[in-house]
Amino acid sequence: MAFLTRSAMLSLNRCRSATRLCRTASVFASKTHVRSRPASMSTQAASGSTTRRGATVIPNASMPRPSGFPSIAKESKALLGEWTPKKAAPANVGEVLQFPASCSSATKGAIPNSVEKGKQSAFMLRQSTLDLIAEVTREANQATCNRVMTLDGPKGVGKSVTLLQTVSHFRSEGWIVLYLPQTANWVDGSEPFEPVPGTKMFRQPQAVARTLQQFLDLNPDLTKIKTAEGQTLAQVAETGVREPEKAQESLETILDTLSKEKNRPPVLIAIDQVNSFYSKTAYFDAQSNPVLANQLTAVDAFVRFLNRTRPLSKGAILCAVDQSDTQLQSPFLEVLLSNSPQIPSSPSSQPIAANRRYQDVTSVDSFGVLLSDRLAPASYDPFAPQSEWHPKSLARFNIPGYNRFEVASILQYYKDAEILKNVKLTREYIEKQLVLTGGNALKLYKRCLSF
Amino acid sequence: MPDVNHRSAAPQTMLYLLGVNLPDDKVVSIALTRIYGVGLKTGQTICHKLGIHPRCRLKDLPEDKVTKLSALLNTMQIDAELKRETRNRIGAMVQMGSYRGARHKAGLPVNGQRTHTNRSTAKRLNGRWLRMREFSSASRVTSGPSPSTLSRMVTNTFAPVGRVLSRLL
Repeated sequence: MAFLTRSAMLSLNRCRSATRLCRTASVFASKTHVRSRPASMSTQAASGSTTRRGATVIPNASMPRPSGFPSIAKESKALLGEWTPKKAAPANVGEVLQFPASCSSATKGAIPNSVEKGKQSAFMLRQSTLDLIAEVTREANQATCNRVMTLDGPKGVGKSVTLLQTVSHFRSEGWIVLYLPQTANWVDGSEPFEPVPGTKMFRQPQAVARTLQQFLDLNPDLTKIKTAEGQTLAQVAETGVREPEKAQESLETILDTLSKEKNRPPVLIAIDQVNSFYSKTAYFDAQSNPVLANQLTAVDAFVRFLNRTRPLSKGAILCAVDQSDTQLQSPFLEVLLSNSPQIPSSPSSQPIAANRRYQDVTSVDSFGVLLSDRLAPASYDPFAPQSEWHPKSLARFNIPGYNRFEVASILQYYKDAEILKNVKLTREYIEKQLVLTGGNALKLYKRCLSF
Repeated sequence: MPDVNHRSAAPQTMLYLLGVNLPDDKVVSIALTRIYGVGLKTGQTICHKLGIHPRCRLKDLPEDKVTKLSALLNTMQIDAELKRETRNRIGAMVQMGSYRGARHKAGLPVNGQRTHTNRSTAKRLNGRWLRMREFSSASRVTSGPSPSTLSRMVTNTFAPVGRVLSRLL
């Protein structure tokens, strides 16, 4: 607080939710910090904020101004702004926003595992999210969806949360969103399954019925789109939910309709934990052979979008890998990702090099000796030879770690929400947290909890 | 002194299957190991054959799968049949006068271990198949409905006592 002038203190008292931003920005309000920000954030300077050391950031007109001046005992939900498409502007980067009620349904399995465990419902808007939203919009404007965008980065950097924010954004814009937050549940052996007679495939009726229910909850307005038989998508999904035996059929009908129908809002397919689609499942068939993920019909329905056997026009496909579960490894997918082109995004001051574990798919070393499973796991991956199953045109979108400004914003929010207690937020403290965690979001959150 | 009551504070639903009470809350492949003659590998193989997913609990098993499970278990040599078979084989070894039979009879190690020291486990365990001749499966104490019915019953079982009972069988 020593950095603020008297006029700064007055304007601080005026606006509560911008106060957080003011305080954090003012701690780093120096010319060097301004230069390290990307060019798109210079609009903030244009809107009247001064960035000399010791000055405040005068809030934008679009930031919410609460009516009263509640004491800063605990950050209540009313004080946090809500995620709306209007909020997706560079000026709001660093602000912590609450998810709208339509997206934060409390049903189990509707949000990523990491979010459910951490019991959070408000997240910070980052520049990487804005870049991703711009990319998805650009992708949807093209004639057909040409690539599969995959969020990449080390564990805990914010891939699932960025995906969730993107889903929420496009849902509020009126897109049709097919969001699969916990695909690991399909392959970890917790869903009842039954063999499809005559094939080597397996059905999971209850899992697909639950997915259809989540699809209905997330997209309330599906009555306008009709299938080839004349039923609306909502009716088809409801049939699947009511009778799990027909759930797979309903899912296939819905996906076929969305793929062929042009007269509809854009479609976003968002798949979290996509490496579970390319790994061994925990299931076994009647001869005690392990079942691979491509033998599950539910997985097969979505992988057809990834390997382009089911084309998608006027839409985008977005995936995120999950590196927190060691059972769900897909070495082959990691190799594919490391060899795929990177989607350019605005530079951040803290790019973290993705810790690629499986670099090479060849199974011999420079002396021609066959490498073992431990040294070259990708070549022993059962999916490596199945080229018809591979995703086509993967494009990697790297999620960077927090930079100084983001660390400062999120720490201020944690302090206000009493997640971080008995700590004075000085510049030195923020620098220390940045260095110790390397900008990793999960590590920073856990450090705050442990104090 | 450990509190014997603490495990059965809440009544535990059991599935009565082929003369054995199986706890409902356990994963199927693990619960099946409670049957004499079924270990982890056999339990898992049974689940694979019947298409039971790996994390299925006994209480979530539909009735048709329970019927198939009992039908499959009936074809296997488990429980009393297996004990009878073991008893017969050891009895045959004793009767024909082989070395192994004599060791069983004397309660000494059978597989060539040293006896100068370390023979207490053998002394305790090795004669039991011969001493058990006095018991037959008909005289076993069964509490509950007849083995032909498959029913779920709520029991206030003391888990340690249940294990002692199964050792007497």
